[in-house]
Order: sequence, then structure tokens, then C-alpha cells
Amino acid sequence: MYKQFLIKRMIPVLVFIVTVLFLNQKPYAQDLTKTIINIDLKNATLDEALATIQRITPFKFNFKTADIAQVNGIWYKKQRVPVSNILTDLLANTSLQYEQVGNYILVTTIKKPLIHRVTIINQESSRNNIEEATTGCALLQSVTVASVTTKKSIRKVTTGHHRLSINSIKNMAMAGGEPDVLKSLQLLPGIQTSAEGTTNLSVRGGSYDQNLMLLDEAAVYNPTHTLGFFSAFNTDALKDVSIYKGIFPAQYGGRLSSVVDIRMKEGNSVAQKVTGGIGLLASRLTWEGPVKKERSSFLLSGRYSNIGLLLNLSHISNLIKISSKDSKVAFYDLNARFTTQLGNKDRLSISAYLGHDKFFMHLIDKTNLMKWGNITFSTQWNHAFNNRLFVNTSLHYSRYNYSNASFRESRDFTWHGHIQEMTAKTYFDWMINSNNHLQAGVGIAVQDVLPGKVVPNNDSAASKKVSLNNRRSARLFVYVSNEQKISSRIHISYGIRATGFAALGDAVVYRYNEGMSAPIDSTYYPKGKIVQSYFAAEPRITSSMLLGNNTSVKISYGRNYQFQHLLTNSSVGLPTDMWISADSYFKPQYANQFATGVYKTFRNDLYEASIEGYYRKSYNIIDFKDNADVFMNAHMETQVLTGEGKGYGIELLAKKNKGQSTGWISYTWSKSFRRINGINNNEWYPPTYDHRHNLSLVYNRPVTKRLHIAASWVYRSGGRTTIPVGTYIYNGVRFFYYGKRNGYTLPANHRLDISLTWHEKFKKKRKWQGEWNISVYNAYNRKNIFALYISEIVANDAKAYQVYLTGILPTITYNFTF
Amino acid sequence: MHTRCYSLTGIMLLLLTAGCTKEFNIELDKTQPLFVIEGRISNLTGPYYVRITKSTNSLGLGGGPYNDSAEAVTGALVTISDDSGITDTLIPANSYNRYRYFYFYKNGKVDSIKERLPPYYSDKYRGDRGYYETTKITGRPGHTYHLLVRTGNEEFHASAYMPNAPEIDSAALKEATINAKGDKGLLPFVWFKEPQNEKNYYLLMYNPITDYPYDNSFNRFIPSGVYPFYVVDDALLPPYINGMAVQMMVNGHDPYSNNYPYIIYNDPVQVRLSSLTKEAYNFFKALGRQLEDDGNAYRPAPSSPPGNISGNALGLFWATQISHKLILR
Repeated sequence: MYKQFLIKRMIPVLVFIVTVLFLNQKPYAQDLTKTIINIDLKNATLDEALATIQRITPFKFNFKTADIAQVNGIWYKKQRVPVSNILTDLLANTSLQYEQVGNYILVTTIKKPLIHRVTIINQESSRNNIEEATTGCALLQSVTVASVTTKKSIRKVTTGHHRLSINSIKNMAMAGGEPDVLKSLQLLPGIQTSAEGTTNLSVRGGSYDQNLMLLDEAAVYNPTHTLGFFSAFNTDALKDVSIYKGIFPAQYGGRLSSVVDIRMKEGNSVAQKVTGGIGLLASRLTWEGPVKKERSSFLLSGRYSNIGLLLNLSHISNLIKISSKDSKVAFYDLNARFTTQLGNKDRLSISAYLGHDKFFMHLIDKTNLMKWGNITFSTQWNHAFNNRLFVNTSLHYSRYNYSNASFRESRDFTWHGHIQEMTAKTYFDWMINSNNHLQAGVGIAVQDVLPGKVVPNNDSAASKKVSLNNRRSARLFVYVSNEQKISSRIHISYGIRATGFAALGDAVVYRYNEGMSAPIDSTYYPKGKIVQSYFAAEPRITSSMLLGNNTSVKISYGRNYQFQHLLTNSSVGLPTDMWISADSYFKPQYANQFATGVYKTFRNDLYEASIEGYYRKSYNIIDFKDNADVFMNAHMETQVLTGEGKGYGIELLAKKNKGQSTGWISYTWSKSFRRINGINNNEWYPPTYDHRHNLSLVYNRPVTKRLHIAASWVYRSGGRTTIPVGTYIYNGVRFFYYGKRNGYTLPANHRLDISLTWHEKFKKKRKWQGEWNISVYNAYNRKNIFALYISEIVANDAKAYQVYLTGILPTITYNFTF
Repeated sequence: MHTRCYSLTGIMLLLLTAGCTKEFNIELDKTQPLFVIEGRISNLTGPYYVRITKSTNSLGLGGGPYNDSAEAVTGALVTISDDSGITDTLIPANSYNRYRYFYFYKNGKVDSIKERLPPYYSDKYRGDRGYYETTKITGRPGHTYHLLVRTGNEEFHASAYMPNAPEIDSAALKEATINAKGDKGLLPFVWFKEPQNEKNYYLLMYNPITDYPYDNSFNRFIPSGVYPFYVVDDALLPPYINGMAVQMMVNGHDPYSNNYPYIIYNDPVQVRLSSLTKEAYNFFKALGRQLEDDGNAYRPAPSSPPGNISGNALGLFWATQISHKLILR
């Protein structure tokens, strides 16, 4: 009954979106040769030049940042000339060409430029080598390879890799008009969220703590604001994001499921620029510019949100039916980056991130005020020995603080925890010859985790100061990988990463009785002494074979280790979750993954499609015992059970890359299981984030010169939860008893988000550019299940309730730049 | 940089309908109902009660707060024996025609009156509701008690040790912050010494004065949403508890239960500090957790409270030393 209803409601939406996406729309393209403009470029990059043209014409440019990054230092002034002439001039002496498709102008590389070929305008060659070295190093191995060709997905050696530029993220329809890096990744195949509306990722059946979130290579341990409704990253300060699902290049390690590599934008090295946006949910401001023209630049970006103020407005709190008007929901984040050239062969960049949240909402937790925040700091130094050999040395610091202040009179204290990590590493990038590209690196990371500390809020409180022992550890890693061209059709990339891990003192290690219920003995390890060590070897191999010009087949295998576990109390990611590094009891978790796929492009790269399948098995994963008590528990190991997990799935992606309308359809069919000794009679059972079907449609299109529409529709079959099998009365109150963990399948979610962007009319004399964005989240007002709980609000009459985040949610944002 | 500034007019248009709850239809698996046994013995005046009921596959049977909807199990053989050889065979507590002293505070004096027990029962529910009461046994700290229940062909056992409870030095009503909003209300506070060299678990609750010397744990039906068992473990307790609030557990999802229950009436209050074994602590903690959270996305997977009745029955039999203080006013 319900399913039929669901299908009925889905079909029209699906048909609509598919039709719109793939209908050949009638172009209303304007003629490049007949559009006459005035242009004055002073020492501009090609990126800026194209942006200038885009601003004053109806044309939109489409290019790969990496392709045009080499062209800069343009001085060009013309009055009343056609756009076509300007483009011809600008692209002369470069390896680039342009092509008009509707109102889009595609700027692509001519044929196949070699990756090392340097294109220069007003630049010395050695400096461009460095530019390129940094691009090559800063981006990823596969991305570098990808930039060689226009047939991107089919030629890449890696499987399960996606990259989104910030522009494409900004063009997606998002809740509150707030572009979100992590939520946009959820629209890709194989990537899901465990709860609607939140940023956490479950990649190929992994849990959300198995994702390595890197911001300029520094790990971010809680990448969320507002309990996961926003990601911690301000898109105005970012350049792009890459995700590797399961099988990573050897330079990455430390997590099982994915690497999300987020890169901060470099400041504009030519002119000062301010951009910003004022929105209902969040406002942001970015200032960038040169410190020394063309040699060094800075970028400062901030974002602030105070949703609590909105929630406390009386008509809103009435609408939400929360009985209190005392919500405190606010966050800010700051990004800063400084980049400079040191001589002709060196380049230095320093970036920092600071984010902070406070959260109290009666509806979610009426007794605790949560605060959390991340700080990261990265210094990267690139050096080019010559145009084939580069070295990149970097230092990263990352700290995640979290606290929880209890309001209860009888628990009047604040709980604190933190995780702190410092990493130093260096790696070499050596293009040995046209067939071999070698990368090798070495690094060390030290980590300090405070699993919990309680501080009384006042002197007379009925609690004392208690702190659990810090857990310290160190990792030493080394890796080498080579990407080899075996023939013109066969590429192979192979590498190995080796990690030595040591849990360090001071620490007390307990020995327990047979049932792990009580300690019988303990050993003290003084500071610096090795408590437990592990060695991990992670081989990774991927190969691709071209079949014809438009099709390729790939196969890959990778093994990953993770030396940390997240003791999580929730399916969402909360500041009460605790990170625990491996020790004598918590063994490092590891996974083997196999993936294979077929990739195809159609009509000269206009469309691309891929199908990928994967199988993964993970070991030493953990889950809680029933009624586990982890609060300030020095014997955490007694509350946890270990076991193994497995998952498999098929991922389909069909994408339209160019033209008036762009977008994609992604579909994932997947299964995920775990088997933990002591849970569900040691049988395989699904985790909460096991969603069988996942369908996303992403659509983008300019309607008129100034109006742009974006829409996305997602369908996700229900996750799993645990529900009672019966109830009973104890002391006059009805309580529940439960059957199998995660034994109940929740109903499916689906949702349509729409966003309309309206650019203000361009005025020649005005530098101020503004745009209005109206976004409608959950456009057909579906009450998707966020959580299910059972409660006895009226005595003796317990009922099940579903929490849904929001009905239809329209918001307005004003974005500007000057 | 272009320095001309444009004033940004405020953009405030909001049609926000966020975060709501709605009822959700759920069908529980049809499983065999289980026996539920709840029993307690303490150092307070008996009789002590054991109740036997059955669980149900339905979430609730309706009927409101004072409707005891449990399916009672009558005619069972129930005994409690201690480690000194005393065995007490419990008798059905169809107690409406039994008498007991009820206490009150008047003119500066604690006084009592003999009355029929219990006054809370409505006519509808008089009779045998699955309660059994002791006839002779007295609880003493440091001893272990054994419960046997035989009904039909089934037999259930449980053992409970009675740990020591520290004396309450003093108790008083104090104005305290009762919720996150900062509202004030009266809460009872207790002062006591916490033995730091041993692992202790406590249960704190307050009662009206009416039955202060009696153990009396089952003769009242408690309106749901508030559960009087608030348990603490001593890990965070200082050597001297310099005023600790005694609270009720509140059902966390009830949108109307914004405030903690606090004392608004003018009755004198009795504060009870009960000692718990780890087993009993874990059980009450799990019950309390069910009131706070039940499978919410922000909480751990819910699980059944770990009882101590052998033979696949639900519930807990526990023994506790109770130290208590009256707050008279």
C-alpha cells in the first residue's frame, strides 16, 4: 500500500527530471562574432579574463582549471571588438582552443598536450615549472593524469574517484542556499548519508568515521557544523574537492572507506576582491588579493550563522512546536591562506582554519549545551629541482575540541575531550620518463587524545574534577608508487604504503577476567614508552585498459588500515563521540577492497557514463555492547565488541558534462553487513546506514541570460533501526525490550531541492556584482524520516514517533562580489 | 580594492517549518509474551512486594496515567529467603481491606493515622493485580536474598545482595535551576559522605511523608513521564557531597515536560538514598535511558534493560539499604 503510494508519487517527479535533463533543448545561442564588447585586462590570469567576458556577455565558459592555470600575466585592451576576436587573441600561443556550444564556450586543450609542456605568456619558463609542480603536487596523482586528456573518466587509472569544482558545488541546489561540499558528494554514486539533511558520509558501506577529511592535507576530525546540518567548510574559501572511494593512491592512508581531499583557494594574485553572501541561515565574507603582485597573495574568509535567533522567534518556535525559546544554535568559521613564490623554484603556502559551534536545542537534547570546533594549520613548501622532479614538504597541525555542559542540577559539570595531531611529511614527484611517474614520500604523525575530562561548573557542585588518561600515539609512514604506461592502451598504477604505529605511555593497561567484566591486574607504562605497536602494509594496484577511443575497463585492489576508532553514540556524528587510537585492546581496523568498472564517453565527451562494482571486507571493526556505558569510563575496552564487516554494490553514473543543461543521474545498489561477536547471536546484521537503493538526479541550466535554475532529487531506501519487540510495566511505567539490533527497515526518503539564481543586471561602471538566490529545500514538502523513537508520553500508551527535519524550506541569499 | 560601499538591505523572508515529530505506525513482531518480575527488599519496614505480570506485543494499552494496564499473574508461588536460613512465602496483596499508618506533619509534629491501604486504587482495579507481599522477613545490609517464583510449569530465580548506604547528614529544599531556560524551582538536596575507597552506586528519590518508615515501593502508580529512580555512580562524586539535587527522571521526548519536576506543594518530603549493586544500577540506568532516548539518531542503539531473573523473564529483584531524612516544613 505504502509502496504503491510511494511509486505513484515518485514517477511523475522522475519523469519530469529525466525529461528535462535529456531533452535536446532549443538553443538560443548568440553569435560570438556579433557580440561586441570593450575589454581592458591588466596583468590578468586567463581565468580572470574569461570571468570578465562572462560577466558582460551572455556566454558561460566551461573549462578545467588545471588547463588554463598556466596562462597568466595578460595585458590586453580593446574597444568595440567581437568576443570571438578576443578569444582568438587570448588563446593564441597557448595550447588551448575554444568551441561554442549554445551559450557555452568550451575552452579545451588542443589534442593531447603533454603534462610537462609549459605554456607561457609573459613568464619565465622555470617559474611555470614551479607553477606546474605545485599543481601536480597539490592536486592528486590521478587528477594530474586526468588533466592530460579531455576524456577524463575513461583515462584515469583510479576507480571510485570523483572531483567536484567549487563552481559546480555552488551551482547545486542546497538547503538554505548554502553550498555544501560534503552534501554535494552525497549525490554521487556509492556515497550516502546516514541521516537525511546531514553532512556525514557513508562510503561504500563504511561508517562515517572511516572517512579521512583533509583540508589542505590537514585532517579535520569533525567536519560538521550544527550537528551535521552544515559542513564545516565555507565554499567561498575552497577550490575543489576530491573523493576516493575505498582504493586510494599510496599517498593517502589512515582510513578505511574514503579520502575527501578539500583544497583551499589561493588568493587572487593580481587584484583585491571581496565576495560575500547574506543568507537566512548563514552569511559569509571573503577578502583576497595580492601581497606582492603576482608573487604572493592572501585570502581571508569568514562565515557566521546564528540559527538559534531564528528558532527563538516566537512564531517559529510555535511552528516547530518546541516549547522553549532558548535555543542556542550558532557557528562560525574562518579560513586564511597565504601563498608566495620564493625565488624561481620555490613556493610556500600557509593556510589555517578555525571553526567553532555551540548547540543547544530543546528538541534534540534538553540537558546539554554542546560546543565543538576544529583548528587546522598547514604549511607547504614546494621545490622544483627541474621540470621532472619536484619535492613537497609540509607540516600540519590539527586539533578538535569538544565539550558538553550539563544543565542538570545534579550533574553540574562540563565534559571536555580533544584530539590533536601533528604531521610532518615530505614527498617526491618524479616523472622518470614519458611512461613512468614515480611518487614517494615519508612522514611522521603524533597524536594526543583526551578521551574525557570532567570539570565541575562551580565549587559546590556534587562532582569532582576527573580526567581520563590521555592516549598518545605515533605513526611513521613511507610510501612509493608508480604510474606506468605499459602500452598506449594499458596503464597501471601500483604502490605500497607501510605504516608503523605505536601507542605510547604514560598509560595504564588493564588485564581482565574472562568475561571482560572486571579488571584483575594492571601494568603502568611511563611516558614515551611503547605500550603496543603495529605494522601495516597497504598494497594498492589499479589498471586501466582503453577499448577503442571512448571506452575503458578498470580493475583495482587496495588495502587500508585505520589506527583509530570512533566510539559513537549516534548515527549522525556528535561532539559526544570519542576518538580512540589503537592500543592493546583496540586493534587497528583494516579493509580489503576490490573494484572494477567500465567507463564510456559519448558524443565527444558531451556525455559520460560509468558502471562500477565493488566488494569490500573489513576487520577489527567495533560496535557497542548493549547498554554500553562509555561516559568517563577508564575501561572503555569492556564496553565494546569487535568483529568484521562486508559490503558490495554496483554504482551507475550517467553525466552530461557540457551544453545548456548539465547534470547527472547516479544510482547505487548496495548491501552492507557486520558480524560482531556478542551482537545478534553472532549473525551478520545490517548497520544503520545500510540503504539498498540510492538514486540522485542533479540538474543545472540557465533559463535566461540572468536566471539560472538548479534542481536535485534524491531517493534513498530506508536505513535500519532497532525497535522493541514488546513492552512491559516496571514500577508503574511502561518500558521496552528489544529484539535484533537494526532489525527494522525504515521507510524510504525522497526529496526535491530547487534553487534559482538571479544575477543583477551588469552595469559597466559598477564593480559591484550581485546575485539573488532563492532555494527551496524539500520542495514537495515530504516529511522524510530523520529518526524514529518510541515514547510513552501518555502513561501506558507508548507510541512510535518519527522526527522529520523540515518540511518545505525556502530561503533567500544575496551574494555579492566587488 | 574598490572601496565604494553599498548598504545591504536586510533580507528576512522566512517560511520555516523545521524539525517536527509525527506519529509513526509501527507493527511489533508477534512474539510470545514474557513474564515480568519486579521485587525489592530493603532495611525499611515491610512488607516488601514482588509483582508478577506479563509483557505484551503492543506498545501501549491506553487508559491514562492511573490505569494499570499490565496483565497480572496471579496464583504464583513466591518465596524470598535470606542467607541465614529464613524463608518467607509471600501472600497475594489484594490489599484494599488491609490497614496501615499514614504519616503527616502538623503543628510542628510528625503524626500518623491508621487507614485502609492503598488510597490510590480506584474501584476498578481493586483486587489481585499480581502483587505478592512478605509476611515476616526483614532486610539487613550485607546479606544476600534469594527470590523464587513458580507459576504453572515455569520457575524463576534471582539473587540480590544488599550493599551499604552512607548516612544522609542532612537534607533541605533549595531554590535551584530546574531547566536550561534558567527557571527556578524547589528541589530537595542531600549532604553525605561518599566512601572514596570503594565503588558505590546510588539511587536518589523523594517521597511524600505519608509512608516514610515503610519500604512501600509498589503501592502507588506513578504517572508516566516521570520516573522516580535517578541513579548515580560514584566515579564523579567528591569525598563529601556538599548538596546534591534529588531529581526525577523525565521522559526526554515529551514536548510538554519542559521542566524537571520540582516541589511546588507544601508537603514535607522524605529523601531516600538507596545503595545499589552494579547490577541494579545498570538496570535502572537502562530504564532511565529509555525515558531519555529511544532510538533517536543522536543516541546509541536502544537495548533491553539487563535484568537478573533467570529463565528468560524480564525485570529485576534487588536489595537495598535506604538511608533517609525528612524535610519538614
